[in-house]
Amino acid sequence: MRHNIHLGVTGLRQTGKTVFLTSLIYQLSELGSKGLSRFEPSGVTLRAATIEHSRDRDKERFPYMGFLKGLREKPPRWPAPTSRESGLVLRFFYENQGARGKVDTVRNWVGLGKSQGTIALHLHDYPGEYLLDAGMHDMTFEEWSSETMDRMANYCPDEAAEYRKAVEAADNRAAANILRSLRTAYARYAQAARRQGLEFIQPAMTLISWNERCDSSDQLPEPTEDELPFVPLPSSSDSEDESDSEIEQLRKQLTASFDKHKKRRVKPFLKRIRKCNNQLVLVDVLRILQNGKHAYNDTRQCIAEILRAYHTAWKPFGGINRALFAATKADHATKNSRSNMSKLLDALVTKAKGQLKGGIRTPESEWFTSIRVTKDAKERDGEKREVLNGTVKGRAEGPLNYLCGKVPPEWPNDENWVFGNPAYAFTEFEPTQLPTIDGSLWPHVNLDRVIWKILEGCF
Amino acid sequence: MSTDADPIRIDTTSRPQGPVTGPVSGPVDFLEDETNTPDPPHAVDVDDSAPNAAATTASDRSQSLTRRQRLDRLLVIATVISLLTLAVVFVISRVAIEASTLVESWPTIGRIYVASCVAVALLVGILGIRSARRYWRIRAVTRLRRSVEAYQQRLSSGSVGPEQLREELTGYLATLEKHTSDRTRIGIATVGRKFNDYSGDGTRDIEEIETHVLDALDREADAIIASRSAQVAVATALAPHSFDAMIVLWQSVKLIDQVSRIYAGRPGLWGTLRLFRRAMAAIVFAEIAQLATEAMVDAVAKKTLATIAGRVTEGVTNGLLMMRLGGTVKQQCRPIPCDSGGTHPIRRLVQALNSRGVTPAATSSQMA
Repeated sequence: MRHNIHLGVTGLRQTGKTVFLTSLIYQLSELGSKGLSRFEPSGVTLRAATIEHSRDRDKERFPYMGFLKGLREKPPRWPAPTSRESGLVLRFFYENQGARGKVDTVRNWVGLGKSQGTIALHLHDYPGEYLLDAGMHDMTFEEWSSETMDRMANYCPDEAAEYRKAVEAADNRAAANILRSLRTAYARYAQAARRQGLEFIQPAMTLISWNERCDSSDQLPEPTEDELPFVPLPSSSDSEDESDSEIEQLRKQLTASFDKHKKRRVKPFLKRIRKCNNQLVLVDVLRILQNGKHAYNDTRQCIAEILRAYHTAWKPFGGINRALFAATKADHATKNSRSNMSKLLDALVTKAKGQLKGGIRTPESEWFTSIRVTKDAKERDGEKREVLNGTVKGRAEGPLNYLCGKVPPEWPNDENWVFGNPAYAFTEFEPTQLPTIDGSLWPHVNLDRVIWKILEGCF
Repeated sequence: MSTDADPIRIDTTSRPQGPVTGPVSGPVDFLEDETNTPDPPHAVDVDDSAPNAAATTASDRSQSLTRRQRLDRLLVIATVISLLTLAVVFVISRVAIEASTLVESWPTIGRIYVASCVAVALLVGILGIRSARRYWRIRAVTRLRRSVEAYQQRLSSGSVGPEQLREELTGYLATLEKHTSDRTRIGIATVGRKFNDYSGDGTRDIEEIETHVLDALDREADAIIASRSAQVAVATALAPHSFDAMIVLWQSVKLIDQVSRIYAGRPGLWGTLRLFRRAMAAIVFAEIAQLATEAMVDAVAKKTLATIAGRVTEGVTNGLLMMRLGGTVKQQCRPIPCDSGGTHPIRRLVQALNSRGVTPAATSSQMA
């Protein structure tokens, strides 16, 4: 039997999408089901996959070989973050001994048996920021402005006040000048929000390149027109008197840019994700814990937006039918904390899941690590605390032992849960050099369960 | 694996009780290879009477026995005794009646018949004693089952914590590893590796054991139950009437023995008595079915047709009872309780019979 699985892999910034895809492609193309312990008890064997180009001409080829080379270099380096849509197809043969029987022999003969077949796994990698804009498709500029201003006031009150001042002081200037000053004020807000670990900053699709510039420079870069085509504008109380004012001219211009963004970028993207019948949403639970309650609320909203996009993209036949959530970087937490990651993730997505259409299944959340970079250890003396052994990001020294925060079974609900609380501090680690021989096993944690959940519908 | 005094190059503010996060001074022990195959915390075969720190004491248990439980136990003893008596009476009376009829007509054949009955009874008795001894040496899983149930029913009550559950589960796996096939050993090793990656999640522990170990054992047990049920169905339909009870008893003993060995676990004393009750009920029912068949044959004019119909019904019913017994044995011997749901017993029996080439047409022609 032939199966086509279109897997859309998404997640917010630095959640490990690219590392996951690299690890998945390596595993399936070099090893098949070898080393995936979840497949063995079910009697399923996967043969090594062939890598093919994606048929979608709009998408780039996922640069797997480049990433593989980077992970095998000395010193190894993590793959570059996703900034554009890319894709790849893995085609492989499977055998399912658990499904053998007389009926299946007949089914196999007519090509409908489940005991063997071919799977074409179409991988779609797209930045999580794309999904954040998906909610705009049915909004007007006024609605979007109002929501964004509220959010600004809620998370970054100082920057929001400054932005409001910029709007109020705009009356006597030309529209172009007003827009420039508003862009600068909005960029300040965006930077402050990012420093707090917030992700829900719109228009997220166009701000990707600005974010990259921000990361590489110490000063605040000025956003270009392409990077920030529109900014929120609070509605005026007496619009009749000011219909010809500069601010109203600007409002018309921004509304046009907003509509153009929806038409040219948001709606075509929604069409494209409709093709992905399976969606995998990766969430970095540890980063949310580290960044505090604002980051929690923000991520919750991001996930709600992502699921809203799935909800919009759903159709009765052939649309999105499954959305799997997984907490990544489990090896950055100590052994006794890991299983709490999926509990936290479940709690995080519960409300958003409730808004999904009934046709979209959401299996239980998972926690995993695509490529394991730490070792578990315990202090020999003293309090015998659990520690992680690994190379900390940005440091050239060899592996050291680190204490890290604990993942609680429930999200903290106290005033002290803010950015920088040492109880929830987690260290980022550099990759360990992976074996340079093709076909050698890569260290992972629970990757087998995630791959099983993606493919189980075929067996 | 351990390291001696790993170097510390980043020195943060030292606090008296040690920092919450940051680099660590002093030696550490790596946990990676600690339990590739789970270490048995108490890798000895234990039964219900064995002491165990994790469980409540005997006196506590007796105090906590409710009135309903006492009544239930009393009922078990009463039904076992009455069913056992009924079965013995049935078997002896049937053998006596048939032997006296034969001795009157053909004295030599009658004597041979009595001797063969005694021989079969002795054989089944010896087999039963051997199986019972072997059965009793198997580890009782009642306590583990209780812990799993307590954990599943609710974690917040705190009666069984995830660490205690993990300890009990690894103890069971260590015992199972000694008595199982290589395939299951691979599954146990996988569970050991998985357990190395996390701790403190009993639900996940149970899930891993179900997936990597118990699913395979379930399939093995199901195959044995189907096979034994098909054997009972065919044998009781074809064999002389006086052997039916012996066949059912023999197959029941073998079934309990095999299934408990597959899981390397058995129920405690009361669970075993319940199983015994079910086996006795199957024997008594086999005898009653025989009487009913004979009565039907006497009442109907077409004796051959009635005999065939009666025997087929008898065989199928005995097979079904054996399948039900098998289901109960599986549930009682499994260290993690499971739902009794699944394929209907009639369907499973028909599948088992079909797989052995037993069809209604073939059975009728054999009997005729």
